Amino acid sequence: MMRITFTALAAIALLLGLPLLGAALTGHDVRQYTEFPPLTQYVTHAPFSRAAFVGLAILLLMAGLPFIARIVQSNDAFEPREPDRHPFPRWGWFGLAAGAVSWMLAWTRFDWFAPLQSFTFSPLWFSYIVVVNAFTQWRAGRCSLTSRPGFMAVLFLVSAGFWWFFEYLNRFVQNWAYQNVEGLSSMEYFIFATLPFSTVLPAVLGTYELLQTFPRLSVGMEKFISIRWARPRVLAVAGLLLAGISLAGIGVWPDYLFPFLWVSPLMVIVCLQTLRGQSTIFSPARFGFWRDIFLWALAALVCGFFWEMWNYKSLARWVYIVPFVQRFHIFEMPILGYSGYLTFGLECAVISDAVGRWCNKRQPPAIMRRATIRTLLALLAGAVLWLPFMHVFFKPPNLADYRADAGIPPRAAALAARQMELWSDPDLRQKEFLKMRRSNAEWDFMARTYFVLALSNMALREPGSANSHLVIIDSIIDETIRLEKENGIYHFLMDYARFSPFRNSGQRSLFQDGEIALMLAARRLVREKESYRPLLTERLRLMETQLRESRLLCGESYPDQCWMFCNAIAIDAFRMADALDGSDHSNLIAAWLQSVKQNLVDPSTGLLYSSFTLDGRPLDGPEGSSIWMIAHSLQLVDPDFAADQYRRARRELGRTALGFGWAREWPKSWKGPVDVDSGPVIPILNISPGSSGLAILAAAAFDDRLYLSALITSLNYGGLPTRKDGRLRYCASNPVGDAVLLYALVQGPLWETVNRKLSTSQPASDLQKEVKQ
Amino acid sequence: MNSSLLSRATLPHGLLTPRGLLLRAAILALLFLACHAAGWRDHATVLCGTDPSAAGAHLQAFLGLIYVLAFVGFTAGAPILALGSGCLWLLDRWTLAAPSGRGTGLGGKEMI
Repeated sequence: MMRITFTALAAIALLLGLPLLGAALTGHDVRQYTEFPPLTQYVTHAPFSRAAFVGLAILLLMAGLPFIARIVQSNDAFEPREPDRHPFPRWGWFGLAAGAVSWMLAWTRFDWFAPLQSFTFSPLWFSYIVVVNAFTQWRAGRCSLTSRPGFMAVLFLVSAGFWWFFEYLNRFVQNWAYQNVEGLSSMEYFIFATLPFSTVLPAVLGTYELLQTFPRLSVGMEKFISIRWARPRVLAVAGLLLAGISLAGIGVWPDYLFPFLWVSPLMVIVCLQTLRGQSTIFSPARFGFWRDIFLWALAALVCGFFWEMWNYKSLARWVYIVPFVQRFHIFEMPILGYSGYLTFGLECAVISDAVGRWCNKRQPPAIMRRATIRTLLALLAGAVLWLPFMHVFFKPPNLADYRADAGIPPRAAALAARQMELWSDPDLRQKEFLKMRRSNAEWDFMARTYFVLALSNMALREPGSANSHLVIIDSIIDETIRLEKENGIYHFLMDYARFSPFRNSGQRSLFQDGEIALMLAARRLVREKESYRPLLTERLRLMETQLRESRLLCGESYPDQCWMFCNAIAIDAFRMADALDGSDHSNLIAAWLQSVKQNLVDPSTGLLYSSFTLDGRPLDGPEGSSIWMIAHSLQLVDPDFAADQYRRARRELGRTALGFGWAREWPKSWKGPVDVDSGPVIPILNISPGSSGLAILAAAAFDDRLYLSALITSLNYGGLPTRKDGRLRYCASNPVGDAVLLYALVQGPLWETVNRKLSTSQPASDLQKEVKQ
Repeated sequence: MNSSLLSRATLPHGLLTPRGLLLRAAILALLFLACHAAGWRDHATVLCGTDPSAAGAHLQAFLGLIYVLAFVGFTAGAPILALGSGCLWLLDRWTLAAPSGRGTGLGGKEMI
């Protein structure tokens, strides 16, 4: 059993890891292979080749004709015995009826059935499984569905994973693609794909067992060619190498190695079994017994025919793009493509056999059951003892180490030390920022903004350190403006910004203008710098022009794409300017607040949309990576609304469990697309590192200590903190993430300074009155 | 370590014995320590969507994921296995008779 387990683990590791490794080592972007749902086509296939088609056809005929000839010859002398008669089971009639109805629904388009039209595959194939088992029961008196229900149940589960593996391999060759599934979210795609995938192994097994009841189909296969190898282990090593190399290469040369998608998994399993001295599916061939091999291959071919036939006119369907042989289709599959089902059948055999052996335990079942139950109970006890207390090892013993009302908390100081190292070492900065820019050029820009804001707050917290901080702030601001001037606004934007022109007359991005204005204002609030005054004034003028051009008083960050995050920051810049220079943008701010409240709130959550068109059409819902910062930004202009947004975000996105805290990227009610700004999202729990990091900022800003403590516990666990020479960074983060964290831990004085300055010139209640009006 | 040695190290104590659980906890811990010693922690930046390699090859991203998995195995899996081992030992000691050591899992025959 343990040998089987070791073989299985080794096979899984090779089959999953080799394609990715091959792609990674040759410089391919592995992220495209892990896209989910897998909708993007990125493999260009070779066109039809007559020579390749003829050559492959000849090879297949040479391989298959001996089998067919043997069966035909043997049938002449074959005298079948009279079969026992068994009644056709009643549940078989149900299967036939359900199958007929499902087939009709799959191939028709009734209006009343439209919501379910994409999901006819599963009932059709569950019916097929019932029907083939019913026919087997009728002909042989027994079938797996009734005699081994536990085994069949496990086989359904294993089948889902089994076919998902082939879907994974298909990411590297893209020989098939699904149509009419674009509207599904990731979870929907997973569920509605897993269900039909679970029918694959039971369908092939059921067909194999039914074919066994027709002895004429395989007569002669029990005494056919004997194949014995003098050195099976040597052959197994060679086979393993070949399979390994081909698996590693399928993403690199998909046009030439795609057949190995169907052959290599079988080779890997058989070779590993041989090396470990286990019997393989080909072991009986040593004695000329080919019947099972033949029937399994034939069973998969029969299922393949039905798969392709029922797929042909279904709504949610697949199409093929097979290099060199994409011609002479039977349904969607090119005729030579059906040969892949033959080896696929053998793979189904191997897996079904492994599942069968696992279910048929060697030791008496009662002992195994007791041992298994005791072990499971013991592991459950271990989990109950450990998991609720695991957070204790990562929980901050003293929250003041992270967040304090005055001074620089120790963790913040260590984070700042690392950030300062980046900004004092140009080579290191370039290396780290280049990594970020490869994912998202915006992160380069935002790392600057957050670090400037953090340093500004630190300078206000400890005026004695202001001089050194201001030097860094000035260098960041000057370099940022220089880069913008030298490279244009696209330097800090993602590539899609170039696909169309901005709609505002100035062709400006509010994302850049707003954050540069915020940096200039923050710097000047710490200590005045006259040369920055006209720069800030000009940015504000450009932003105000852009806002006033829009019906909603919102500006574009990308062409016809407004981000609430950027608009809120821009509004903060206006407010800070009023505090600095005595200007009065209160009407603009009040009008903007009124506009967003009236037009840009998601009705199901009450949260502001993250992105929208200039006309106000939502593009993204309330996105975690945005809404936390938006709530914090709103604190400066409308504290009540800000608190409301935070409470809603906390309810919709904030989560805690077992002492750990995290944030979702999307509320449950929003089925939004994946935004690359969000970064990866850990499924099932929907943990968004980006949203969770910004949630720390909001929790600190709104003094939500319980949630902040839980978030920092998660940060200490999942963030993988690393300290070196007093400098702290989080290995699971990047410079912009660390800058956000630093800002989160020291923010406060800047907003307080703005409010204090404004309160001496304008009662705070006046702005609130304007907003409410 | 060749495959037979590895087999002897892992196979004699099946999963359903206290020693087997403890051995697997130790394997998880060793795996993590190996990944940590290899410096793969720095590549975990792949978790936030940042490619850990500026040069363009993505092997480091793969290693970063391996590190994260090993880390979770070490911090969550190994303690559960170790505590489970203790609980199973207690359960075996208190609930099972032990003729010829079979079924105790303590130096007895493997359960599977």
